[in-house]
Amino acid sequence: MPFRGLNSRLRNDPLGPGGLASLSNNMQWLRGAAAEHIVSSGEHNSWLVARRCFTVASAGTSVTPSTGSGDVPTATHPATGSYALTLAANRFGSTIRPLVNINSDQIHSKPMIAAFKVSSATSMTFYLKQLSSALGAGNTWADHDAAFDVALHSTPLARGTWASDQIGHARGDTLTEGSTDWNAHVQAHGNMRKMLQVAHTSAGAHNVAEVARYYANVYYDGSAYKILTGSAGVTSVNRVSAGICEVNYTALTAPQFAFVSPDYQRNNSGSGAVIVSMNAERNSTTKHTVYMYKYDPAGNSWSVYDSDFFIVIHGS
Amino acid sequence: MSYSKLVKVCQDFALGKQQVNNAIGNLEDFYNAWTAEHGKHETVGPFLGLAADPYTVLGVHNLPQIPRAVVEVTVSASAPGGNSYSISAQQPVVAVTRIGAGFWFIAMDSTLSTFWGIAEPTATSNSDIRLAVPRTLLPAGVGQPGVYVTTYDSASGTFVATDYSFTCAVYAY
Repeated sequence: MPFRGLNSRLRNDPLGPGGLASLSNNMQWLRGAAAEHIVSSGEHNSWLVARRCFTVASAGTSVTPSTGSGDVPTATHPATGSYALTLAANRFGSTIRPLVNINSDQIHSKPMIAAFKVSSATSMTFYLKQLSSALGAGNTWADHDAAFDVALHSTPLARGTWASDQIGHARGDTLTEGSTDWNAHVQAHGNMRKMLQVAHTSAGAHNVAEVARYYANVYYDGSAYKILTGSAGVTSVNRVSAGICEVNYTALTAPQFAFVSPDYQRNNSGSGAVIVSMNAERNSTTKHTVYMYKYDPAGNSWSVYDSDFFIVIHGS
Repeated sequence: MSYSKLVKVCQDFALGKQQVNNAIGNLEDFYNAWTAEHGKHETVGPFLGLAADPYTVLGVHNLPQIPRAVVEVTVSASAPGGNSYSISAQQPVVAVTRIGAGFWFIAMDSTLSTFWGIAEPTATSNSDIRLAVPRTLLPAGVGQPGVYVTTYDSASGTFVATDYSFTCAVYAY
């Protein structure tokens, strides 16, 4: 049943069972709109939204979550470039799908790559490597330490159940203090407001780091980077030098997390891929800098590369 | 209109029109807030002979910066006769197709036009040197829109497209 706008009541207007029922019908619709959130807490609960974003320090012994530090209580550093995370029980499903960005000055002069292994719902490991060959001279990689950002997407948790909200529907029904009347509807309003404000402004904008706030589709025109399209919050891009692009945006509350992806040779043929490695370093509450490198299969070596790219920026 | 705290009724406190109007105002505010960045279309389209739009279904997050789907492709090297793979994805993903070794196509519902992905490779240990590279399509309408992902491995000293498990968050606008 759709959400129906209702007219304000005047003195002496009859409320009627239909009028009252329409209030609870609209509340039911709103509950559908809030379907990707946990009923009791308002926390996001969807594959589409990260359950947690956090930074793992280069030393591998500290984790800086955006919120809810208990979700990723410990990190260890069993070997150079290896980071083992312990995840809280019952907070991540058996399937975990991360986004990773190496957020470090270690990406300034060499490409870095990351891979992950999920061992269980409470244990996963990240492996970081840096090109050990010189640019333009080889394709040898070595385990390497660096700080990195993670957005952990996971199987949605149990959503929970809504409290009853049924105002009298039939002629002759009366308002009582019981659980199925106006008072329950009053409670439903309070719960809905609380749920909304956990991760959104009162106007509905997301305001937690688990949800990306900005995006931009950035392209290189041969001499400068430009924004093809993006959020209004991404204010400008600036080519520092070959393969380095600053992305400036309206300030977000730290920590912000950026994730980047190459975007090039858009066509439908499926061939002609360029192998690009890119990561973004967090510089301030208003800027990330993207560092891009390209693999040359013929020469089996890497070089700096001006690539078109997409970027999403999380923050609150 | 700002949120108005409603008052519960009791024997000595009757429900008046102002309370009802406050409730109506709250509901309108909630509507505007929840639909600001979430889908608001009920899934009645198919019943009316219309195509459903998975990007704007009631409650789904509906912004370019939020993934439209988070895909996992699990490759099993121990399958009889060679590799097999399984796919786990959400509704806007129409299909995931293995085009060749390490070369995958995530086909997306074509209601939107511009897609991109952020792909992450899995590893079995720190000896794996892997890089998953997504590649996107524009414009839609020329074949099936979606995201290509090529999974490379450098075990031999050069990056070669190789089958292994990966994840990919797909974005679109």
